[in-house]
Formats: sequence, C-alpha cells, structure tokens
Amino acid sequence: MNGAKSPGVYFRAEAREILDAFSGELLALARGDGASDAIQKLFRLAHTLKGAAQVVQSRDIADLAHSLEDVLGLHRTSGAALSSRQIDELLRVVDAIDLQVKQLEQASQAAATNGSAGTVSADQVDSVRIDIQELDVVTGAVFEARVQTAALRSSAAELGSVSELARQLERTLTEQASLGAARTRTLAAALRHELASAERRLENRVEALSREIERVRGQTDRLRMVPAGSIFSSLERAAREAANATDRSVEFAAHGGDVRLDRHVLPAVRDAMTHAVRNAVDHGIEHEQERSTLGKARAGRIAISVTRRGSRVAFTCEDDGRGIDLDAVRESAVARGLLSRQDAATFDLEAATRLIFAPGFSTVSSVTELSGRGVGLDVVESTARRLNGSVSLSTRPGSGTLLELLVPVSLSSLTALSVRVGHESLLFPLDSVTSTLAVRERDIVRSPEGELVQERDRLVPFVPLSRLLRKNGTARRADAIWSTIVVSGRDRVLALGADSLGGSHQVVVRPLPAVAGTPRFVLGAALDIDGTPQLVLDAKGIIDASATLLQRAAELAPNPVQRRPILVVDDSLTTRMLEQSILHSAGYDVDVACSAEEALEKAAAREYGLFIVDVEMPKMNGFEFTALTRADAVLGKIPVILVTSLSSDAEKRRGTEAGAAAYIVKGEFDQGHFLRRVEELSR
Amino acid sequence: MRDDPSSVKVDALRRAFDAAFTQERTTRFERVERLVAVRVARDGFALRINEIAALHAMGNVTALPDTPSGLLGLVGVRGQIAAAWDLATLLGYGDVGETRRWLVLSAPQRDLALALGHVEGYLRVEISQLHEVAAADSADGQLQQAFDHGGTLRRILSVPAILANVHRIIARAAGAP
Repeated sequence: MNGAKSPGVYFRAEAREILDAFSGELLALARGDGASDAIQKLFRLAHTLKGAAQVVQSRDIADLAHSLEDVLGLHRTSGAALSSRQIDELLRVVDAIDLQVKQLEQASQAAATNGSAGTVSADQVDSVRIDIQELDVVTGAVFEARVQTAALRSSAAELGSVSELARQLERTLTEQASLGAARTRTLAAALRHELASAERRLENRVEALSREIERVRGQTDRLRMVPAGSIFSSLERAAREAANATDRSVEFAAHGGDVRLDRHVLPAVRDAMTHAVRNAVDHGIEHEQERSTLGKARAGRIAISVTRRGSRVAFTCEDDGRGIDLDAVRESAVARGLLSRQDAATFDLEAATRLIFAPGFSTVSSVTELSGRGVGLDVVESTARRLNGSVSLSTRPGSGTLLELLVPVSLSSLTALSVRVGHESLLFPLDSVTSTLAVRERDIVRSPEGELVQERDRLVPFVPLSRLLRKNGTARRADAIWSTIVVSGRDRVLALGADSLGGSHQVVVRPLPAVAGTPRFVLGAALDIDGTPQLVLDAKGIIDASATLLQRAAELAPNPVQRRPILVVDDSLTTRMLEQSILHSAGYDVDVACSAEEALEKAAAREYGLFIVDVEMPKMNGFEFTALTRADAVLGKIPVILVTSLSSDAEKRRGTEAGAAAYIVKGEFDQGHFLRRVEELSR
Repeated sequence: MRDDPSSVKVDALRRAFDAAFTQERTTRFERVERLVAVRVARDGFALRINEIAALHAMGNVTALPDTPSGLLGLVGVRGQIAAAWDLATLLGYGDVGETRRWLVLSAPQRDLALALGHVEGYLRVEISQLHEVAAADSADGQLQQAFDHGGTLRRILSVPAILANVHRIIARAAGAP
C-alpha cells in the first residue's frame, strides 16, 4: 500500500558497506598486514562511493570520496606506501563521510515522522547486509503460519466431533435393526471410517507443518543475529586514536569475531567496549620509555576477546599495562568526598575496582579529550545494567587489567515464568524470580507499612499483581489462596500475588512500539501461540516502585484494627530480643519484661492486647502468671501465649488449664505460625 | 466507387489512434486519490491507501498499565506488536458505543493500529474534487481534506498527523512539557 523504496535507501546501505571495507583495509595497512593490492582496492572503493553519491546527488559525500581518490591515486601511480599520518588523515575523511551518511538517515527519518503533503517516506529501512524489512515480511509470514497451524489443530479436533456424530448415527441405525436401514448402517460405518482416517491424516500433516515452520522460524531468528567481529574495526580505531592522543604505542588484537548476538545488543556493547579500550590505553598502558625500563615490550597490548557462555556472551578487554593505581584511586576518592580519611586506611583493591565504575569518578584531575570526565567505565556499568548483564574487573598491579562485560546473546530471548491474573497471562523473566509460594489470604500479615507474607524464615512485603497493574483493589475472599512469586532485585525482595502460575518457557521479548508509551514495569511483550501479546514485566522496576505500591496497598487494604501493644515476658535476654524483633518487623508495638513480677507492674500501667510469656522463670513462673491474670477482671481479658521449651503433653495440659490461649514449644518454633497466632489473638 | 465498410472502419480507427498522440498526455492514476472509506459513529471518513500498511480484523487486545485515554493496548499482527488506539477517541468523539471490528495499520512502521467499527469500501476520487478542511474542523490537523461522496461530506484522515497526535498524547501523559 505504500510506495517503492527510494534510491537513497540503497545508497545508505551501500555507503556503510564501503566505509566498513575501507576502514578495514586502512587498519590492515596500519598494522602492516595489508594486502599487496590494498591501495588499488581502496581506490576502487572510493571511486564506487563517489559514483553512488553522485547518483543520489549527495554532493558533499561525492566531494569527500573524490578527495580520497586524489590521495590514493598518487600512491597508486607511484607505488609508495601510505604513511601512518596519511592513514590517520584518510580515516578522518572516512569519519566525515560517515557523519554525512548519518545525517542523511536522520533527515529521512524526520521526513517519515512528519509526512509532508500526505506523502509517506519509505526510507525506513534497517539494513544489516540484508534488508531487515524483507526479513520481517518473511518472519511475519512465518508467524502467521504458526497461528494458522494452531487454528488447524482446532479444526482437526473438530473432525473428532464429526466422527463422534457418525458413530452415534451408526449406533442408532444398528438399534433400529430393520432391513431398510442395513444399507444406511453400512454407509454410516463407511462415513465414520473415512472421517477417522481424515482426522489422522490431518493431524499428521499439521505436525509436519509445525515442525517445518519452527525450523524456518529458528532460521529467520538466527539471521537477525550479527557477528561480534563487526565491532572490532571500531574498537581498533578507538585504540589507535587513544594511543595517538596520549603518545603511546599500542598493539591491538581481537578474537571471537564469529560469535553472533542480537543486533540490538551489539551497538550498546560496541559503545561500552570503546570506552573500555580508551580507558585501558589512557590509564593502563605506560609510555614506551617506562615500559622499556620495566622490561616490557615497547608497544602495549590491548586484547579483545569474545566468547559464548551459554545464553550469554563475554566481551573482555585486557591490557598489559600498570594495573589499577590503588593510591591514585584512594586519593581521588578522598578529594571527591567519596571516601573519608578514616576509611581510606582500609581502602583495598577490591573497593577500588568497585569505585571506578561510579559515575563521575576519575583519577585524572584535568579533563582531556579522552578522560577526566568520569564517564568511561560508568558507561560500561550502565550498559551492563541496561542489558541485564554484568561487568567485572580484575587487576594486577604492574601487570595489567582485565575488564569483562557479560551480556545476553539476545535481548529478546529469555526464559520466563507465566502467571495468570484474571483472564490475563503475564510473564516474568525467570532470572528475577526467587521462589514461588502458595499463600492463604488468612496467612497474610497486615502492618502499617503494608502486607507481609512469610517466605522461608523471613517476612516479605506482599502486593497483589492485580492492584499493581490496575491500581484498583479487587474483592478478596477470606478463603482465597494466592499463587505468589517472590522477586528480587536491588537487594530487595517482594512477593507478588497472582491467581495461578503457568510453566516456564522460552519467549521472544519484543520491545514495545514507541506509540505505546512507556508503561511502568513493562520490559516488553511476547506473542503467544495465538499471536496475542503477553506483557513481560520488569521485576526490578516493580521493586523500585514498591514503596509507593506498598503504601497504596496499605491504603486499599482493609483498615487494620488498631492494635494494642504486646508484652513479652521472658527471663532470657536473647529470647526477649528475638521475639521483640519478630513482632516489630510485623508492625507490632512491643514491651518487654524480664520476670512475671515486672510484667504485672507494667500491665498495671499500660493496657496490653496480648501477653507472650515464658514458663520457666525465677520466682513466679508462666503457669502461675497465667492463672493469676485469668483471675483478674481486667487482665483476664488479655490472651496469653505461653512460649516455652517444655514440650510434654502434661505441661501443655497444665498451660491450657491455667488459661493460656496458645502453647508454643521453643524447640518447634515456627515464625509464621507464631505470627499467625499473635495475629489471631491480638485482634 | 463506394468505400468498403471495413476499410471505412479501419480508417476511422487509424484516425482515432493518431489523434490519441496529439492529446495532452495525462495519467489517470496521477489524478486520482485512492482511499479506504471508513465510518466512525455516523460520520464518514477516508484513509489514503499509501498511508496505511494493512487492514486486519480486530484481534485480542492486551491492556497496558497506566495508559492515556484512547490507547486500548497491544495487538499482535503477523508477528509484530502494534499499539491499538481508538480512532473515535483520537478524533474527539466520546464513547460511540460501537464494536471495534477493524484495525488499520499505519505505514511504514506498522506499529500504530487504529481501531474502528466500520470499513465501507474502496474509493477512487479525482484529486480535483478534494477541498481543504478548515483548521477549526480539522481535529488537531488530523483531517486535512474532504470531498463530496454521494451527497455526503467525507473527510480524509491524515495518518501522519494522527501519529503525531498520538506522540503528543503520550508525551503529555509522561509529564513532558
């Protein structure tokens, strides 16, 4: 329905290819391993670029390509090699052409967005040596075929119903048993038989079709991956420029270029590794004279390596320079107020490697072209975070530094756990899920800070997913059971309540279109077998906002009954502190007493809602305290929970006879059970 | 001698053929706007063929949290995810109470899907029949031209302008100035 692609589309794709090839040839010449006919190749590339630019009337690019031709033409004639300075100059011209091409792309995109006079620019092509839109058409067709295959399965199932009707018809006719029906019975039997055969054939064909489509889909997904080696040229350029700027010598090596990863991941990695390379040259590699003095090779070594590790790819940048200067980092941290003089005394290498990733941190006092702004390694760290990866750094003083950036192979493919909330199916990256629980509504602890559930030996804040997504509180049945997932991130934990859990499976996460806005907590969406989008939720985003959510949950939750304080009575300091801590974290106001006598004094001065009492205490024991308070008109209304190490049936009976509402054995202490009993009795 | 009837006919055809080369060369294609006619509530509209990528039956919509008015949610179309916006809301209608049966995908990105109730057919309208719509009636620039169709005014929607409006709504919802 929209128009044919303009020549500009193809020119930009061709220009990129030519510039990549041109840079590659120049860098090979710079390393000394260029081909014998490199000058000729470069001349041809420049000439081709000039011609293409002239066709699309891009005068600036044509002029720049012409200048390349001028320089190369002289060398082609004379046979003289290009000097290092000349190579640098040519690379600068390549950069200038690259900038022009980028401006053409931006102009094209702007035209497509604004749309003048009702026309629509068709220059929205994203090319990775193949036309991605063409690939997307294929991918779309494959996906649609999958959806239709799923529909075919339903049709096959319907055949089963028809077969059943034929069986019933045959049975009915058999029961009539008249001569006239004999022929009809035969026909019915034949119908049933044919339908059964058709059903089997259809099922087999659908299975075969599904397999083929999955194979094609996997192949088209793979075509979207690009080799990591496509960024090596750019990194080598960065190393060379950094070395020139800082008057150092550097040898660059790269391995693992065949490793493929998602084209959405690679540009971010390239930018991060560019910063890492510059940082390695500027801060790591020594000057030639210093290196000679140290017995090192004159040229410093920068080695880039790419290796696949399961569903992740590791990019490493290793240098053989001086390593991290601990003293410099310490002094800079103190000067910038990031470290006190007192803490500086214990500041070690591990702390230093963590600090240098902080935004704004630098050991350089003045800003240069390369460093000083404290940007470099912060970019690496933020890239890792953004890609759900990780970064680490190890250093050997005097020997060098190794930086490793670990990223997923594909932003898009991950293992997710599905949960159902009403009629919606939602997905959580499995990496972010700590555990799953079945939580009864009545087991949820309500506190002024929000709701809490027990997970193992801790209380975890709880929020129903329905409230999170729709900002409304749905009616909650007292006998409801929440299928709960516990997610973690940023050193915090949160329990999210759903209606049921599905399984875990591999999903392809797609970014949301810009016209969908930027909804909170949504990483992207995946398409289910019917082609319906399922939201993939961001656990870290949910946790970040959890303070607000919990407050809202507390506001929407049934108003908690104003609780009266609890009095813990135990002669053991440890037990008093432990019980007080558990109750505090559940939101209770708690007083303590170290004896039954002290407890009676406190009970006379303050109105409590519950007594939690040890049994074995000097002078008055817990049984006696319970019996005494039951006999009091006022204190008798306050329930008593006995918490004791005495576990025999006789002692438990004694507790009951004394009037205790609950008896908890310390040796079998369960925090959740304890809090539930407290909750029930303190209402 | 009387002319042979067939010769007369051949001569007439030859003259007509030659005359065709003397006429002003025009391309009918260039003088015609190709449109898809749609209806919102009781009002007729049209969309330019070259501004839309596809027309699909409405599918399942996945709601998003915190959405501005008009954004219905996400839809999946041939393996791609698009944001479904209610055309009636974008044009300033209230709740028109009609079932949204169709999705129109914008070109070239295919990420905006306009949900509407009725698609009425395909139209070819001479460009000379189009007239500009007054700014006050343009629904924030989303309606730029109109034409008379069978005695009824039908306005042409500008998909790029609708897309720009959607971006403005999103920016406002995000609190951008």
